[in-house]
Amino acid sequence: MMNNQFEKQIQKKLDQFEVEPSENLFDSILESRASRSRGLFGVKVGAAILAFTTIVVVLVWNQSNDNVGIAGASAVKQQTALTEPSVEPARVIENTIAENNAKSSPTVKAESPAQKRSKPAGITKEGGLDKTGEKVSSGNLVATPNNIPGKNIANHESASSSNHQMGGEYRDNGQNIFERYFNVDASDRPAISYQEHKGTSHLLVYHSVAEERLEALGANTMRTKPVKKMPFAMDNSESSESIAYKQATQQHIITRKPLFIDVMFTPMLSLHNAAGNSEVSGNYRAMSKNNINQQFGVRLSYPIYQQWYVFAGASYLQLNTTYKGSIEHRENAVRYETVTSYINDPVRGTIPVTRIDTIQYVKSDNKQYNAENQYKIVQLPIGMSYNFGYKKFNFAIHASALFNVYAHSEGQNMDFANRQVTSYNSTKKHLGMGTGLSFMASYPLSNRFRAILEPGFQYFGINGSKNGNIVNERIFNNSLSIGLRYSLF
Amino acid sequence: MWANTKHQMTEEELLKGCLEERQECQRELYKRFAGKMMVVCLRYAKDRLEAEDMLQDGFIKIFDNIGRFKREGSLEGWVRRIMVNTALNKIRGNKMKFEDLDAGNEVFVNEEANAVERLSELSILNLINQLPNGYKIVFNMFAIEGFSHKEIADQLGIEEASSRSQYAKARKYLQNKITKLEQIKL
Repeated sequence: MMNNQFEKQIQKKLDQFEVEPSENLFDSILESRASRSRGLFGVKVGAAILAFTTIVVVLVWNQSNDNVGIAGASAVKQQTALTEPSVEPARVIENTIAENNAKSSPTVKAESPAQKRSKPAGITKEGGLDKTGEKVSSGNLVATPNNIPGKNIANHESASSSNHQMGGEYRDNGQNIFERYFNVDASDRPAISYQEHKGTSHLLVYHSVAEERLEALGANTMRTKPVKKMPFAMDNSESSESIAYKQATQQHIITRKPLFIDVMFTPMLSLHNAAGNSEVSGNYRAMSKNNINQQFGVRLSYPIYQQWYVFAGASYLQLNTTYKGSIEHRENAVRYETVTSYINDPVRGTIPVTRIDTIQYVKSDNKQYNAENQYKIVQLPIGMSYNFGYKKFNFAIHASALFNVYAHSEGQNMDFANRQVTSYNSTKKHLGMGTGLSFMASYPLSNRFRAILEPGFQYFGINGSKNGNIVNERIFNNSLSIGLRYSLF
Repeated sequence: MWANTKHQMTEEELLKGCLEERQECQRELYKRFAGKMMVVCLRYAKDRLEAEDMLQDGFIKIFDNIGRFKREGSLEGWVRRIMVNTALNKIRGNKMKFEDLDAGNEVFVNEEANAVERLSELSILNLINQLPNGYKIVFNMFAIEGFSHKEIADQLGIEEASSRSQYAKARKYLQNKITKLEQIKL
């Protein structure tokens, strides 16, 4: 084929052709590779230090928790009595869960006078469990372990006897106890208003919840008669030993609230819009194409009041925008046409007559544009969330302000005046702000980890063009985050 | 003396040496392909400086990924593919001009194969480089690298039909120019 011959000839010619590059180019290649390896080494070292620091912090944190438990256990030897904590009488259920684990817990073999006094009120001698509950307000709602199907408490105790000895099993504000005995998920647990621990005995005071609520949650409940006095907790004898114990234990009682760390990956569908010069932004709008982008982020949530949390985080967002399409350019134009006609003259013969016509017309030109921009943005979201739960699920509504603190952008601008696409490359420290709203659902994977699914949206502006193009892009991201939530406490 | 008797490395030895990061092997690989690859880069770059930049990036990728060469095709083909991809990545950020091509007055296009044959390699390279950026890339990718129009459209983010029409225009432009050069010579 003659047509292919042309290409083949050019191909053949250029295949044989060689052009020597600069002499020192090979040295620069080696230098570039060496310097990049050094850079990568730095990144690896940095990552290793970060990982090491994180591990150390987590270990130290766990260690300090263990120390609290151990200190509490050692204080048991000195205990004589506990005084009643001050609680809100109208909205409190008091539950004492006393576990006499004499066989496995040598530290509590010697019973304190307070324990002896409390025996007649219901603590068993067999090393099992006994519950004494009191609701000071009207109506009585006390959960007991005995009527929870499938909960073999004795087995559980023997399995964790070493923890009992240390007083460590229940040191985490009683949440484990509640989960085991009351079959209520973390999201629905009443908040603990007060707690005290004596070896393997624990006094946990919860804010009350409505009976219907507990029933709805599937918690096993039973009605009991009001107990006027709870001997273990109400003993007011203020002996010097009891004061010493109280001081010793109070020092180690830490009121903890769950602190959540979320690590998320977010694919998002970006919708672009443009503001600024109406002609240019109109063209951008006409040509914009939606892209799927991605974001990686970390979020820290801290409880402030009941189910309200504040959160802050950092994320890295890579945003690709494509403006693709064709624009028709129209302009008035004039062209001149020469028309020659002939006249047959009987004397002079054929005479040509030339006429020039001026024709005005609209000249249109269709031009294709394909501009691609990429933003690499560091974004800081700060906001509030409202948390609630249903069965094993936790839900939260997050509302945030977004601060784009650093952005690198590169790509192409459409230069409509000169009818071409020009490149740009810029780094900015501030690239505007915006807002975000999302709905989070999480499901427990283990005691500490939950899987997160969080649909939402973001809206923010980027003035990404540096060199003269006055388009201010408005980004609307429909996002779906998937991630892990780690409960620090 | 030593230089003359120096052992000519086989491709296998070269690859092994590069994998072991031996500098003499890397230098040998560079020497073998740098000249040809420079032509590849010159076809895509707007000037020599940019071409050398592409060449440098391309060889860095080659040395980094030499272990991925599967020995299924020729080493030169693999090196060339990396170089073309590097060049394409580099020029994606540049402006893509697809303005109307004006080859001057229409002339009778000489389809004779020998017309290209009679021109020097440098003249052909210069002619290709005279094409506006967008046309040049499409022409290089289709005519020389052998990409299909669909692949070109995917790579450059343009319509397949645009690739075809731009290629046709670029081809016609080059043929015109070659014919004119022929006429001048005659």
